[in-house]
Amino acid sequence: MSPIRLSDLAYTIDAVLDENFGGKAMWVVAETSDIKNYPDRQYCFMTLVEREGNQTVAKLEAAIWRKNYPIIKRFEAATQVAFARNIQLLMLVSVSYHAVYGLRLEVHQIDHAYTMGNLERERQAVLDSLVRDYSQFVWLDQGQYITSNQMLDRPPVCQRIALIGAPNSDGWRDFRQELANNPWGYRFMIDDYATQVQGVGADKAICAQLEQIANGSVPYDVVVMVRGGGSQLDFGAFDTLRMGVAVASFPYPIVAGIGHDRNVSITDMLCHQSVKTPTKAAAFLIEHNRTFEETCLQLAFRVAESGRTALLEAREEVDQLTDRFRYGTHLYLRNRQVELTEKATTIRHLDPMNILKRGYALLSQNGNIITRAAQFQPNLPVEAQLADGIIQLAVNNQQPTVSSEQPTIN
Amino acid sequence: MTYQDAYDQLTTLVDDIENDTVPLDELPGKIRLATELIAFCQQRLRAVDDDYQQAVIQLQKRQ
Repeated sequence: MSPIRLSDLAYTIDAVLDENFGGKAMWVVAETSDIKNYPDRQYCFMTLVEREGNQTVAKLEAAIWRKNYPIIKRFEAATQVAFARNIQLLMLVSVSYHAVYGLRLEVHQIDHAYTMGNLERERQAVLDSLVRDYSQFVWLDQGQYITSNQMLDRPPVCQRIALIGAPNSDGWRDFRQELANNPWGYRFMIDDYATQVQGVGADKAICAQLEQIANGSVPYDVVVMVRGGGSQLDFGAFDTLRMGVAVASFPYPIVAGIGHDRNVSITDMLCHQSVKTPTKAAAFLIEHNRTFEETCLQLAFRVAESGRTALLEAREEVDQLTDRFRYGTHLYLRNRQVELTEKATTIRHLDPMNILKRGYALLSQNGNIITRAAQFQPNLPVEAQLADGIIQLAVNNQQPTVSSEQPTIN
Repeated sequence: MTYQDAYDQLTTLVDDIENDTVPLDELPGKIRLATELIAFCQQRLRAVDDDYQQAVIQLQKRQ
């Protein structure tokens, strides 16, 4: 058998492939491996693999050409996952062969729902594991994930801050600037705990910094995690079990401002307070401190008010007591006066002279006043005492007539 | 003597006068004492009021 030209063989392969795959497209699940993306030229090469455990069981080259190139951006926008290596994709592909470039899959579409479903399942698996294996830090309450970090009391004033982020990144700068420009002139003490916040190993790096903060000697009021400014993608670091455990169990309240629009990462769900952006994280702390100051101002106002009221009441009491004293003394003296007057009247009524003046007479015999008829001695002279003098009475020697009736004297 | 002592003493005194339980001969003494107690209370009130006004000024300065 005479040898054939390589190009002939290639042609034959092309023909066989075309017969089987020509004009067909099929949905394939694969994991991305090496990616060579050329945004300027609008195409992307990558290696697709399938693994079983640590073993690679299939590996094919693939490309996204210019006409399909926007699917990358659309995928990232929909899933908020960076189009990078080591992600599982469901893709509509066709098989193409070129005599020089060889066998290659052409990617036409990427299924967003598949990737999001995978992500959601992974997230749920992490959450389930947290509730199951770290139940002292994470538990479910009426469908809400509650963590011990959420239950921590924030100090009334948060000033000592441990800042986790990439120094000089936009988010890091936004946070610091917002704090520095606070309108109330509050001062903050910020210690940097520099770390990468995205990419491979970011969760490990962040957790290492958390550990350093927890083991350090500075009693921070709050830990702030920032990320932002740049890519809206690659939240992987904030969705891992390692991060979940570290955040949920952390001894200082964690405020996360890790910059995202739609996704809520596991870190956001489990931390003390989650806000959208680093700027908002700063605003949150300023507002928190402002609340404290306002409480103080209100207390000062209440102190002033209650002091004023208490003084007014005390003054009122003393005034009332003074009035009572005046009137009471007056009444007391008048009562004494009335008593005296009454006594005088009684005495006046009792004075016999006053009775004699009204026309009565006082009879006496031998100096003894006669008050009863039986006392009368017939043989003795009788004297009648009138108001202005004494009359000697001549008396018949008669026996007295004793009446049982009491004469009335006016 | 505290304000409260003075105030309580004054109250008892006024009660006694109102209830006619003071012998007349003791009244002048009681009146003198009451007058002194009232003056004392008023003076304490004025002093506390001055302190209060100072405190309010301090509070306002801080705002």
